[in-house]
Amino acid sequence: MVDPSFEALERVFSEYEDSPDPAAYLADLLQRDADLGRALERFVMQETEADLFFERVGPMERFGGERTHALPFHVQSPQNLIGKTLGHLNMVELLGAGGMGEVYRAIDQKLERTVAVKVIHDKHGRARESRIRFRNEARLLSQLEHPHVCRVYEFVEGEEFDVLVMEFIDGRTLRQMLKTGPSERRLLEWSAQISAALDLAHERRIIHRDLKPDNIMITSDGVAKVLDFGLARSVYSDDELLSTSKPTKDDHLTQVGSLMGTPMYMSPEQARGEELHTSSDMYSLGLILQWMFTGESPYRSGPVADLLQQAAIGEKLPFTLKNKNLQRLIDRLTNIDPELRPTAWDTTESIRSLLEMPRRRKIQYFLIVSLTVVSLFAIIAMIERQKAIESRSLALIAESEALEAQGRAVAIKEFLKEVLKAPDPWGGGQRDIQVREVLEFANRELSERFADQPLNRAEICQTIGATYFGLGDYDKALQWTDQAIDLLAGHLSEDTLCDALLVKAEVLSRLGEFNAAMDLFDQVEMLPDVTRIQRMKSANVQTNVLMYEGRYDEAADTILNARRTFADELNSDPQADADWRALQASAFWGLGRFDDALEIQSQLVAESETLLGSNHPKTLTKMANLATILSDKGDYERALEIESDLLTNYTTTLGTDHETTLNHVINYSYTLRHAGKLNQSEALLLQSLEIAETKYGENAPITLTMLEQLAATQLQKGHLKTSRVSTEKLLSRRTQVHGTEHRFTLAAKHKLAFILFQLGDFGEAERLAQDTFQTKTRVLGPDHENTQNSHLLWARILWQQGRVQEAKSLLESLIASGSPDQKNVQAAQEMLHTKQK
Amino acid sequence: MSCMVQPDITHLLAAWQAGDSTARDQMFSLVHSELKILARSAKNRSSPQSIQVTELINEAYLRLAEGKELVFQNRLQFFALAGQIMRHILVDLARQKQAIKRGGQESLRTLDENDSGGSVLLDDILGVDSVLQELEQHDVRKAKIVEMKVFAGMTMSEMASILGVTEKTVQRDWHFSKNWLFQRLRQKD
Repeated sequence: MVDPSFEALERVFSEYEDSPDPAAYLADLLQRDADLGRALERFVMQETEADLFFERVGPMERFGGERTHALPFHVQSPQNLIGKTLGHLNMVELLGAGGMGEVYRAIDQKLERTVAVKVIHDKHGRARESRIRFRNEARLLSQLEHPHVCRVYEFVEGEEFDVLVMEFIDGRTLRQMLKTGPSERRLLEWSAQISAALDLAHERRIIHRDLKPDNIMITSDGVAKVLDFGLARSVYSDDELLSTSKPTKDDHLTQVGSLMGTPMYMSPEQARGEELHTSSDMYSLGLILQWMFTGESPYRSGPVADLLQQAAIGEKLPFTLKNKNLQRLIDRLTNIDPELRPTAWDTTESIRSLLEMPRRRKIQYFLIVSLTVVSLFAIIAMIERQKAIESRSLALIAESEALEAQGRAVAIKEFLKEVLKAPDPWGGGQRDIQVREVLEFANRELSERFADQPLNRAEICQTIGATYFGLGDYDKALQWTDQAIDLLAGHLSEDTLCDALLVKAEVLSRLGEFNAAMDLFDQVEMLPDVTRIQRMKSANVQTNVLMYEGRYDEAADTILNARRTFADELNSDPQADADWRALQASAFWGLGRFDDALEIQSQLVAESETLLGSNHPKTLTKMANLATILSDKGDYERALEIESDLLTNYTTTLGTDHETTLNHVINYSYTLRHAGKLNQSEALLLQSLEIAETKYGENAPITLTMLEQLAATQLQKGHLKTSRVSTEKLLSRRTQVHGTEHRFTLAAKHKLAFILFQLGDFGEAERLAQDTFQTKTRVLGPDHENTQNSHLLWARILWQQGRVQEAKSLLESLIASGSPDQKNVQAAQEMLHTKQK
Repeated sequence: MSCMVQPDITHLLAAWQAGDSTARDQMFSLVHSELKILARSAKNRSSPQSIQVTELINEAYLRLAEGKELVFQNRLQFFALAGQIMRHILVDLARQKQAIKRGGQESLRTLDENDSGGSVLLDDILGVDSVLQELEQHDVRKAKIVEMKVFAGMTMSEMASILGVTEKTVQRDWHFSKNWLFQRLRQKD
């Protein structure tokens, strides 16, 4: 047999490789040219062996694939301890080794258990401080007990080496496990476990400093355990951590952990050699998650120096995951700004909610579909029934049947109102769209089927109006309610008219037209044959409107009067009574009478829990109000406890992106901020802000409120720069949505002026403060508190720049424009006074 | 006039890129001496069988670049050159080792068979080097690719970029070369 020429072999190999069906190509070649075919066959058959050979010979790729950072020395330990005894430890087997020492499996003879023993040599001349630090950290670590942390039992200091006795983990490293292709669910579970381990350590102020796939073990039971907390700093000096020639052992070894070093999972601040906080571990976790879920290294492959450079500026490779929530989480974890990364606690919660999500989505979808169908049929059924009643002579239908039908129609209407108005536990974000579709459908049906039946049309218009009110679409609500009122003109149907008037009053109050709203209550009173129930309803809505306007004292009086006037009705209807007491609690809260409010609200929660269960939407709303009262009272501990539970509850039942959940996030983060838990508050807001932006849009009211809260939290943290970014974003969106003269826009502009002033950007701060002051003067008048705020700020900015005369004249005009009892006027006087001194 | 100050590799690489062949030679001797020192100390430090070539090259790079950022193309140039140099050094070391070992017959390989990784086994080096020389006779580009990959750990895309060919071509060349080299080694055994 003659070997083919190099050229011939190369030609057929290229054709073989490029062929869409190489096997067919080979078969064909064997037919055409048997010798060449067989030669090619032999040539390609050895590929696996050739791969193995070159894998053994050469490094293949720097930092590109699996083996890249495991650059092994073959360590023939000069101090092989196998078979020897160190105190009560009997060394059995070498598990692995790295430049700094070895890890053995050993038997603790005293306690008769298998342990892992990490022997750390001193040959690299660790500084004395470093050893002391190691000892201290080891002591701290031995107190770290957690199902997902590799337990440290004891620490022994020796002449030539230190010994760390740890829990023996029967398992493999995360790196090895990833090769087995675990499911996404598995990976998420491990991620949550790793994050939970970090949470505990961070709580104890222990920073891992060297989190990487080789430091995470998966036990044979499939549980993740994190190794070597804090050891990086103790074992290596910071320089060593950054140095390139760190002897490492191949990754088939276990529990070697920090004896190997890699910059692959370092945070930017670590790569720059800066001081580290717990947020550095979160960055590492983010990179690990990216690696876990993409299977790709987070940095572009290249030499260590290049890698460090990429790490230092956070220039990791872009990636795309199908799971957008997970992608967002990783993006947040790997934020270049340590302050913007979520905490371990938040991360654990986020991952856990990701684990919950797929199942809940399905249930939600199913229920949305069925709810929509029910609503649709309910409306059609009601329409048909009413039509039947009207079109046939009443005499032809038995009276009982008519009553029953009417009763059913009312029940359906009430049901619809209830379903559409209450926070809907199943709707998710889909609710609005589904309901709107139903309403559009009802509208079309109305004009066709009920062209000549004004009373029925009015009733349905009123229901639709109330529904739009429940959805927060006040313009539509007003339009439908007005249509109902028009249709009812000249007809005797007080119930519907009364309802329509009251809905209109509520709508008007939301639109800020309080006087017009109040007129409507008079109209209700003047309806012929107005019933007591109608009058009670009217008083109820009136109270709401008063409180919406901030007139809590009048509201409290109205409530007191109403409860006295309608005592009989309320005694026989505990539900109505509870509604009145809820109003009372709100009024007391508004008046700052927190203890009174608390007493009533606690009672309401307890009742609701017994009556409806603790997970019913109505109970949850009552609990949220209870927490608000506690929070404003300053009892943050109890408020946070309730709000944290509520968040979990809303997240599980409604999902993270439901409006109710997001509204609650705003309340919760507000309490967190006031309780001084700024990091948690910020992390929560950042997370939810993204959700709100995606779900409801960048300019949605809820998104903007959240952004406003975020800027406030960042400001309170003293993070002027991030707060500035948030406030600038807020201002531009407010301007887009409300125009330049709206009080929301002006508030954002004032805030931004203040932040820029704090940052020392006096020029821009002055421009904004002046502009805000002038607009407010025009819109609100010169003596409005908000105008004075900006007035004062402008003066302070001028003063700070040494422009004393200009500042003085501003302060003087402020004092002249207001009355002496205003706090800004007093502040201006004080300022003039002290500055003159 | 020659200058005694150690030349800056950033400039050398740029000059080389611009077609200055003396710059390439200067670069070669600079990297060579640096790598040689590192390789020797690595060999003394660890077991004599294996050396982590990429680590050494990285270390040499760090020392020579002195923290300066090299443009991407220059960096690749550096690694391609370093791969070539590393091959020379390793062959030298392997020869020395063979000379020390009486007869050079007995294989000292004690590495675990599962132990795969970035080290180059000196015992294999001489064999690889000789068949690589054969490959060079047939196809210079293929031999260059093997050198860059095995001795400098460069990636497919890096090699494609420096050779001015597509990644697919590099890949095909590498597939062919590894099989061919392995076959030749077996035939020689």
